[in-house]
Amino acid sequence: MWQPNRRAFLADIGMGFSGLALAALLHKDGYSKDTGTPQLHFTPKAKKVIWLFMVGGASHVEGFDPKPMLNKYEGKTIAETPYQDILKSPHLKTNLRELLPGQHKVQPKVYRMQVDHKKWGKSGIEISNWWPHVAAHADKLAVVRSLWTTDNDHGAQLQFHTGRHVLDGPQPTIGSWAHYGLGTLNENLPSFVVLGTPLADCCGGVHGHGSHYLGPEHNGIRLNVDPKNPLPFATSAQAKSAAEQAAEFELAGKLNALSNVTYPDDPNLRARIKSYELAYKMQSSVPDVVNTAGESEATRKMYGLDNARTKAFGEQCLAARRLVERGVRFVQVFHGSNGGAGAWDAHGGLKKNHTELCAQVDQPIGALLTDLAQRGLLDDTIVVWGSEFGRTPGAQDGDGRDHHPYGFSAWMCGGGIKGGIAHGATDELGFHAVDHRHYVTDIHATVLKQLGLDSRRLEVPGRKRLEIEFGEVIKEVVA
Amino acid sequence: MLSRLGWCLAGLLACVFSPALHATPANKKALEAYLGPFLKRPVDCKFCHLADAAGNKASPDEVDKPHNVFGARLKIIRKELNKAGKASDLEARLDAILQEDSDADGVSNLIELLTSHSPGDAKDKPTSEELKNIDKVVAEFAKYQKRYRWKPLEVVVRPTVPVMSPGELVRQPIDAFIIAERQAQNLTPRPEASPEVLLRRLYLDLTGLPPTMEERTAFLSDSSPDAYEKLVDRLLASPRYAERWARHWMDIWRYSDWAGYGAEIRESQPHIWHWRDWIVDSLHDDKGYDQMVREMLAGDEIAPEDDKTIRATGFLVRNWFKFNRNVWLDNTVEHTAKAFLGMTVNCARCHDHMYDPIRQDDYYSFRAFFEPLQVRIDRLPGQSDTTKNGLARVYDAETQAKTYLLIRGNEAMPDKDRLCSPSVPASFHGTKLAIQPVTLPRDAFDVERRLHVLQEAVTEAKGRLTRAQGAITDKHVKQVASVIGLLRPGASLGMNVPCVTYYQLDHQAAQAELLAAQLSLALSELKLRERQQTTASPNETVLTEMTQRQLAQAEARKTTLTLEATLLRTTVKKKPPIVEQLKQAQAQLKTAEERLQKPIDGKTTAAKYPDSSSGRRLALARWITDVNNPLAARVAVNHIWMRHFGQPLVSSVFDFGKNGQQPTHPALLDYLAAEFMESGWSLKKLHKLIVTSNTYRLDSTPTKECIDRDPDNRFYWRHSPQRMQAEVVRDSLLQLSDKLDLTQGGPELDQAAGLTTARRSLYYRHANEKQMTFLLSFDAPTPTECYRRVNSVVPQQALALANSSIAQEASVAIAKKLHQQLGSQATPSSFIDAGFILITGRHATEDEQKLCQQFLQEQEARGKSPSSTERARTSLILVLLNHHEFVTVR
Repeated sequence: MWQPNRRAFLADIGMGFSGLALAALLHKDGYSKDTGTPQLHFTPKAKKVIWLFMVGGASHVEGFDPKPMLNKYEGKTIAETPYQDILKSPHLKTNLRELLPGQHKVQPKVYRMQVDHKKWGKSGIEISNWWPHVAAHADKLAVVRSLWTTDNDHGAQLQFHTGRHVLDGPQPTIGSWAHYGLGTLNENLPSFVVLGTPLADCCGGVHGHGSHYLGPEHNGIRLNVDPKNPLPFATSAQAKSAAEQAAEFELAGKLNALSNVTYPDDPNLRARIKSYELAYKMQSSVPDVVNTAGESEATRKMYGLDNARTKAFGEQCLAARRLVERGVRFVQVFHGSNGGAGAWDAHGGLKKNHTELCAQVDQPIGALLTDLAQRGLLDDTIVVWGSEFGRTPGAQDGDGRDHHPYGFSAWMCGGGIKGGIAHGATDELGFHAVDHRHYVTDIHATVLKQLGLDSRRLEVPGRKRLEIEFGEVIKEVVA
Repeated sequence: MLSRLGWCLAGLLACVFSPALHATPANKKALEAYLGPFLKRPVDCKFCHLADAAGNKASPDEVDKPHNVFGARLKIIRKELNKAGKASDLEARLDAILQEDSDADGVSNLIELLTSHSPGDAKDKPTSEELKNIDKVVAEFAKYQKRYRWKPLEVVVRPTVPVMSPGELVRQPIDAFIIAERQAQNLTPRPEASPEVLLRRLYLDLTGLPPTMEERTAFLSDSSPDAYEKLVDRLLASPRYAERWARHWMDIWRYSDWAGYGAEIRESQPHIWHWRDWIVDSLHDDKGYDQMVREMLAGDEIAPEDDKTIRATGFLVRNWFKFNRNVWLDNTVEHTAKAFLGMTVNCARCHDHMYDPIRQDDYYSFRAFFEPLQVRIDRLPGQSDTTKNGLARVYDAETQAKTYLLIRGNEAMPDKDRLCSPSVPASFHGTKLAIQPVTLPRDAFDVERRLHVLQEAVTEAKGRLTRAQGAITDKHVKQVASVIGLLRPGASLGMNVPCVTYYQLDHQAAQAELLAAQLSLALSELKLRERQQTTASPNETVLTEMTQRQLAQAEARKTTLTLEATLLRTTVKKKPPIVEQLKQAQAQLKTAEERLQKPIDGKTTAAKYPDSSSGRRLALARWITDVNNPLAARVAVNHIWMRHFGQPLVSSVFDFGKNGQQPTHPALLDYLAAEFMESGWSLKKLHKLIVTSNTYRLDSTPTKECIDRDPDNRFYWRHSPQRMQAEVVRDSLLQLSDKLDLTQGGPELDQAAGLTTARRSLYYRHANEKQMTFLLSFDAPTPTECYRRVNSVVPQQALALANSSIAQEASVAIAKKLHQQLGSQATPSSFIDAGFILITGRHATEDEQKLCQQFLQEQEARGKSPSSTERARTSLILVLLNHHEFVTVR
C-alpha cells in the first residue's frame, strides 16, 4: 500500500510541494514517462552535489581563514590581546548547547598558526600552504568564513548535515532532502551515494546520511570503492554464470509483467518491475562506477592514486566524479572517520596531524576540481567542502587546538556558485564569526537553491521543522 | 549583535506569549474543519478580524489585528457558554451564532460562511448570483452538520450500528459501518477472496509466516461452515501470533536493545530483551491491553516483588540516555503520550501547544510523573553477574523529586517559581488523579537480602573456600617449602632473594584469602539466617557487622600481599602503576583495620533503594487506561486496524489532536474502541472481530470503475494488497525452506548472524547502528521512532532477494523439498505448479507455466551437467522468491 498512501499523504501537504515531491516520487518509482520531470521552485543552476566532509573538525585558522594576529600575540592569553572583548561576547553562551557541560572550554593561550599562508589566484584569497592543490582553484571557490554551529562536541557532525543538535535526535539530512525533492537523474545507479567510512556512532552514525522521517528510500546508499564488494548483495552469493543470472532476472521481469495484467493498477508492482531492472543494471554499473582502473594514467596520477598517502581518498574523489558523470544526484564523501571523534580532531600535535591529513586530501580534491572543470561537469555540479567545526585559536595541551563552534569555514565551488570570494569573517583571532554570520544550514539552503529547491518549502505534515533547519540562502555567493 | 539563534527564539517568544497570535493557527484549523467541504477558499484573517487600516492599534493582548464584530461575538459567546457550563470550543461557538447576523448586513453568519464572505464585515456580502442556490447549500450543510462528529477528546460512546438492507453481507458490525460509507460513494465492493488467498493473507497477517503445504491442504479441504473461524482461532492461539504482533508493538513502543559507542552503553540498557519476552508472553496470554499499559508504566508499583511483571517497565528503561537526563525524560514524555494517547504533548516543551489544549506547564506536569524514576539492573536467580544477565527496570529513586518549568525548554533556565506537580492537562477528562505512594515490600528495595541472593552467596562462598584451600595445599606450600629448602646457611642468595620473598608473599596472600573465604562463608550464612528469622537478635547483628569488618580486612590484606608479590615480579619499567595500586590497597587495609577498632552500634546496613515508590506513574497509568479516557482505546484500535488493512482509520497515528487528520470512518473507530474496552481490552477478540469481517475478507483485485474513483481504497471496496514487512520476508524464506528455528525468547542475537542463523527476526539485536542489513533493505523500523512503517520499493530489495545467501540457500532447500514431495518422476509442470503454490499461495497460470517451462529448458542447457536439471529448478525457485507475488500479501 505504499503508493496510494503516499499519494494521500502528499495530497495533505497542500499546494506547491505536493506536485514536486509527487513527481519526484513517481519519477523514481517508474512514472517518469507519465509525469515528466519534477517541478522545481526555482530555475536550477546545478543538478548534482559532491559533499566533502572532514570528520573531527579541521582547523579553519590553518585552512581557509588564516589569522596573522595569532602569530603576533602568540603565547599571550586572549585577555592580554587587544581582542579581549572576544571573551565578553554573548555568543559564548547563546552560540552553545553542550552535550556534556564543561567538557570543552575557551582555550585562553593564543597559539600561532602552524603553517604559512599566502594569497592565491587573481582573487587573492588567503589560504594556508597545507592546501596548495585546492588553493590553486581559489578563483573558483566561494569560501564562507563565518559559519557557526551550536554543539562543541562531535555531535556537530550530525548537526552539519541535519541542522539540528544531536540532542534533538536524527532528522533528514541535506542529501536526503535533495533526493526527496528532486528524484533521480539516472537509470542504473542509486541517486544518493555515500563514499568513505560514514560517521561513527558517537557522532551521528548512519543518521549522518539518513533520511529519517522522509523514509528509507531517501537514505544515502553506501558504496565501497571496491569493485568486488561495492554494496551489500551486489553479487550473487553462489557461483552462477552471467547468462544464468540474466535469465533469472528476465524471467522475474516477465512473470511480474504477467501479474501486471491481472493487477493493472498496482503502482508497487510497476515500481518493483522497475526496481529489478535497476538492480540488474546496478550489479554491473555499481562495480563499474567504483572501478577506477580504466581511467587514464594521467588522471590516476592527478588524483594521487600512485601515492600511498593520497590513494584512498583519491580513489573516492575519482569515484565521486564518475558517479556525478553518470547522473548520481548527491555524493557524500567522508574523510577521517575513525570509529570515534574523527581523525581531524587535533587536540594535540596539530601540526603533525594536519600536515598528514591535508596531504591525504588536498591533492585529490584539487584533482577533482580540475577534472570536473575539464569535463564541463563543474557547470552543473556543486562541490562543498566542510567540517563539523573549526579549532580554537588558543592552544590545547601545548601543541593542539580544541573544538570550536563559534566561527569556522567551508567552501563551495561550481554549479553557479561565484568564484574567488571570501565571504563573511571571523574576528582577528578567528574566534567568533562576526561578519555575515551563517548557521550551517545556510550552506544547505544555498545548495538547494542552486538545485532549484526552496528549503522553506521542504516540509512534510506532522513534522514541524524549526526555523534554524531551513537556513537562508547566502546570496553573496550565488552567481 | 544578537545571534540568529537568539533572534529565532525571540521570534518564537513573541509568538508564544501573545494569545491572539497563538490562537490563530488553531482557530483557522478549527474553522476549516467546521466548514469541511463547504469551505470555498482558504480561511484568512478577515473572517474574524478587521482588515488592516491606519489607526487600528492592536490591544496589548492582541498583537495582530483586532476582532471584527463576528470575532468579538465569538469571544462573548465563549463566556456565555462557559457560564452555562457548556462546551465552548470553536465548533460549539459557531453552532451557537450561525443564525445570527453579526455584521447586520441582512445576511446570516451561516450564509456568509457558506459563500465565503466575512460575517463580520457588512461591506463584504454575497451577490445575488451567489445566493441563487443557497437554500440547497444550506440544506446540504444541515445534513453535513448531522454527520457523525469526530471528537477524539470526548469519552467514547458506542455509536449505533447502521441498519443494512438484507442484501448486504454483514458478517460483523464493522461491515455495516463500511458499507454505509461505501454506498454513499456508490462503490461496488469486490467479492470475498478465494480460500487460498484468504489462507495466505491470514497466516502472514496473524503469524508473520506463510502456511505449510499440510496446513494449506487441511484448510482447503475443510468444507465446514466455520472452517475460516476455526483457522482464525488456531492462529491466534499459536505462539507465532504473539511473536508476529510483538514486533508490531515493538515498533510502537520503540523497542531498542542497548546502543552505544564501543562497549559504552549510551541508550537503553542491557538485558532489555526481558521486556520483549514480556510483550510476547502478554500477547500470547491475551493480557488486557489496559493491563499491559499499566505494567509498562508502573509494573514496579503494581507488583513490586514480581520480576515477571517488572520486565514490562522496559518501556521506560528504553529511554535511558547516558548524557542528558532532560533528553531522557523528554523522550519518555513524548513517546508515552504518542504511543498511548496519540497526543503530541512534546510540542509544549518550549511553548504552549499551537493546536491542542496543552499548555507549557502541562508538559512539565506530565513530566513530573516520571521525575522520580531511575533505572537499575536487578539480579535474577542463578546469575550473580549482572553484566551477563539481569533485569533492567525502573524504580523511583527520589520519591519527592520536583519538576520545574524550563523556560523555552532550556534546561539551563528552570523557573524556580513554577513548580509543576504531577497532573494531566486540565482539558482532559477526569483530571483529578489520586496519587497514592506505594509502600514496597522488603524484597523490592532491599535487593541484597533477597533469598536467592543470600543463598547464592552461601554457595559462592563455599566454592571460594574450596578454591582457597586447594590453592594452599597444592601450590604455595610446595613452592614455599622448596624455596625455603634453598635457604640453608651459606647458600648463595643472589637472584633467589626476591624469589623467596615473593613466594612467601604468595603464601601469605593465599592464607589471607583462605581466611577471607572462611569469613565470607560465615557471613553469608549469618545473613541467610538473619533473613529467615522474623527479628534479628542484637547479638547477631553485632556478629554480622564484626564478621563483615573482619572480611573487609582479610580481603584488603590479601590484595595488598598479592600486589606486593606482583611488584617484586615486575620489571622496573612496569612498576609505577602497581605502586599506585598498592598505595590504594594499603590505604584500604588501613581503613579496614581502623574500622575493626570502632564500636559496633548494632544497626543493620541500609537497604540499597528507597522503601516506597511515589505512586505517580501508577496514577498516570490508571488514568490513561480508564474507560473514560477518550484516547487510549481509539489510538490502539487505529494501530491494529492499520496493521490488518495496511491503512489506518486516522492517518496521523500518533496525533489525534487538532493538527492531526480526521478519520475516514469516525463512527467505526468509536465502535471498535467501545467494543475493545467492553471486551476487557482483549487484543485477540479485537483481531478476531476484524479478520472475520467481510471487509477484511474482500478480494484485492481491482476493478477499473472503482480504482478510478477511489484509487486509495479509502472506502474499502477491496482489500488493499500489502508488502511483507522486513521480518516477514526473512522469516518466510526460512519457513518455506523448513529451516526456521522456532525457539522462543532469550537474549538478543547478534544481528550480523542474521543470514547464517535461523531464529525469528524479532530476536536479533535491534538498536541504533545495530540492525540487520537484510532487514534494513526492506524498511526495518528505526529504533528511535516508528509508529508507522514505510513500504518502499527499491533496487536493494531486489539485490537482497536475488543475491543474498539466505535467499539462495532457501531456493536450494525449497527445490530439494519439492523434489522429495513430488518424487523423482516430477514433471517440469508439476514442479512449477508446486513452486507457485508454496511461494505465492496459488497455482501457476497457463501463461506462467509456459514461461517457466521454457526457462527450465534453457536454464538446463546453460547449467553444467549432470545436475543441470536440479540446478535449473533451484534457479526457478529463486525467481519465484523474487516474484512480486512472494513479497506481496494479496
